[in-house]
Amino acid sequence: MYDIYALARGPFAWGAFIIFFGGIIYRLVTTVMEARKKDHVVFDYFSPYYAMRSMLHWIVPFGSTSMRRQPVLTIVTFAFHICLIGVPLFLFAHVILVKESFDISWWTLSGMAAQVMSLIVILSCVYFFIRRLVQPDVRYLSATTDYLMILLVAAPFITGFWAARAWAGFEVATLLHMLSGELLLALIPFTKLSHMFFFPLTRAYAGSEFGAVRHAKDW
Amino acid sequence: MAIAEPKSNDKPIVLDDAIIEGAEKLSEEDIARVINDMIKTEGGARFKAYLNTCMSCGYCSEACHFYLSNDKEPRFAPAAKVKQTLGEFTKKKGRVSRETLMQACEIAFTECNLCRRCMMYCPFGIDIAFLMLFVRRVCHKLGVVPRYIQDTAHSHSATMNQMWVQEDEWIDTLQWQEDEAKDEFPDLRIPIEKEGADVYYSVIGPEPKFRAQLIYQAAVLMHVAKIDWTMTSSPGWDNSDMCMYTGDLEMTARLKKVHFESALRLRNKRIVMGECGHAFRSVYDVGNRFLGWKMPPIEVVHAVAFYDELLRENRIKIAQKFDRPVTFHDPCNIVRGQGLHEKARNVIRQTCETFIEMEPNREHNFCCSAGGGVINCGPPYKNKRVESNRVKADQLIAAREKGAEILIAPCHNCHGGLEDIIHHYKIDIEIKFLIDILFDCMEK
Amino acid sequence: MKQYCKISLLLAVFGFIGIVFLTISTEAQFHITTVEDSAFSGKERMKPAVPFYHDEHNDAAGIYDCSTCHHVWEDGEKLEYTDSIGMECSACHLAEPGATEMDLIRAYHLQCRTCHLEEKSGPILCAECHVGEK
Repeated sequence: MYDIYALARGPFAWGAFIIFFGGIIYRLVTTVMEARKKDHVVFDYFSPYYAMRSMLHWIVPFGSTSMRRQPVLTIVTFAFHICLIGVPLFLFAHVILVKESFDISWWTLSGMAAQVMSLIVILSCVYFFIRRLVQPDVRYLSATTDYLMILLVAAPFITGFWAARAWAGFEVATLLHMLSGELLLALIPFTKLSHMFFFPLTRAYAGSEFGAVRHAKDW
Repeated sequence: MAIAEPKSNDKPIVLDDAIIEGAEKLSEEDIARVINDMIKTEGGARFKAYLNTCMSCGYCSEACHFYLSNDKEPRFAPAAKVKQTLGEFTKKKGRVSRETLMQACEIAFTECNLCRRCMMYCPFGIDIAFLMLFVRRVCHKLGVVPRYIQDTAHSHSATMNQMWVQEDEWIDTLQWQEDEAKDEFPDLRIPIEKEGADVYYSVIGPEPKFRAQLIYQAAVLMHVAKIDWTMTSSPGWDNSDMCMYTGDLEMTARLKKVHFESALRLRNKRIVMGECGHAFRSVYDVGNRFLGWKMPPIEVVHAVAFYDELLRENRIKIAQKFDRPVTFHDPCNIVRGQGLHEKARNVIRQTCETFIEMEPNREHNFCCSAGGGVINCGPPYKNKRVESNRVKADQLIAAREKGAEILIAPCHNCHGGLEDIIHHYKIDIEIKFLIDILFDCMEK
Repeated sequence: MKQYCKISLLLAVFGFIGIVFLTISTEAQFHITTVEDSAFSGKERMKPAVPFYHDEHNDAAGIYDCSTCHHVWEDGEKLEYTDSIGMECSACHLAEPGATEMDLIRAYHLQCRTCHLEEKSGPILCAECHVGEK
């Protein structure tokens, strides 16, 4: 256990973060470079104003017609993403780890809030999983990786919640929590989870084309 | 024992013999080579970002009239069309069977109007039309294209117009319309090849072929509004472009070049084009880009914007408003394509007494299901096209129930598609172009 | 005789006071059961206080030099033969300008876990130390 902990806390953590940030930079740089070569329109028609307008409409809950047409999915999606990003960043236990290693710290969530938010993530994943299985069009679109991705995202939250509650077997859960979280981080840049950083790019392009060239709304 | 009824909608059924003939000539190696070559050369950052970013969430399904009209059959969801085509191409590294290729061709050519409505419903703004055009371009390079639209593309490359119209036939038509109009307006002219004229007026091939009265009406409008205008007798008079929809972008570039250059040669100040959606897209969005112009080298004004301008500047006056209740169909290529919906409404408000909005409208309007070259794929697909747009029929019926008697659609393709829908679903509504209304109401 | 009585009484009183003092102080030092610091009192806790049996821990770990834990650092070096017994941890660990409870927590965590990891003995995971209700 000490060895696994030392690995998870040390080299694996470093590896995960380096792959995560390095991977994002790599994907963004190669995408931009390829766009320079083959999709110059992306730069030619780029408009900061319309890019922002489009992003705003799609980052605000119910800011688009599409979201209003599927209210349940929209509510779950927003709750899910807010908690998904908020909990890992502002969890006291995470911040104190950062404090220990780098002597920096920031605002943290209360324990209660963090647990509720983790539950929201877990329940949202359950919702997404069932929706993929049950709704015909989404089921048709889903590949095995789509289901695996949900499990991959849920894993650190399930084990993290377990560890935080100190339920029986929390020792294993804590170690699995660290390892699954690191795996998730490292896979983000190279799976469809890369939509995390491709969102602003595709959205900005769509917004620029719709706003600046086509003079139409895109929400 | 009862025989289970085959689920006809599970997979596209190949209806066009040219697709089958084209595919029969290909080996799997040919298919793989062309697909991989296309992905390598033209599958750029957008292509990859779109394919990698789609979370298959299903937000786009609700946007598509094919999906909604086919009882929400999953394979008609926009993302599903990508999955069945490019999804297969990339998964199998290009080594797809002829069967898959033919189905991909069916999907890209006849089950997507490239209307870009789904792009507005996707949280990432994934441009499915762009991806379907990519598939069409693969099909074009492989010589697997529905017969009717390919014939149109051949006409474009042989004559620079869509309808095999000969040069003398074209000039004849203009003179014939001028003669007709002279009965009403003795000093009316259709000026041909006039250098330095303010307005270069261009139309699509089907106008001289089937709807010459539109040229007549446009001539009267120009005459009354005292516009200094001209049309060209040379190739370039036709602004339409089906090659853009077969994936033959090289031909698109040639067509647009001829069109722009004929106007530039005459040193005209701007191009005004008739009521056509796809032609506008080809000039304003696609052709100019392929030629390397960020914006068209000469200002391009769509008829709807031109009418709006004439009314705002009081160049024409309305004698008597159109008294039957009208509703308006927003064509994708000029609404999601250039945001002309408010200008169109201004023209309608100034010319019609009663205007009834269709729901949904403006950017969210449903496509006519004829655009994107689908109607140009011809008779084999008519039934599928019309049956796959029940939502449009519902929309029209609702407008009819609110009292609309006239349906205004300022786009040729929309006209064709809506006419078929009205007949098939037996909707008691009459279709008109915007210029039909303007012509009726203006002071002449 | 009278004088002896007075002296012995005085001694007895002093002795008694002394014994009482000694008892109190040794009681306090050798029966520690939690990690505590006045800096935490009255503050909302994120986690329950850590149970810690001072004697048992040191017996089990074989720690006889008080300065192993009750260290004193000066100019970035740990001073030998000098300990900080009788001082609260927060006396130093909260003394830096801008220091917060986070710094104190950090000190505890690093102090305990670093050693436990080196020795491969003792708790290292959150819930191994922070047990029970707050």
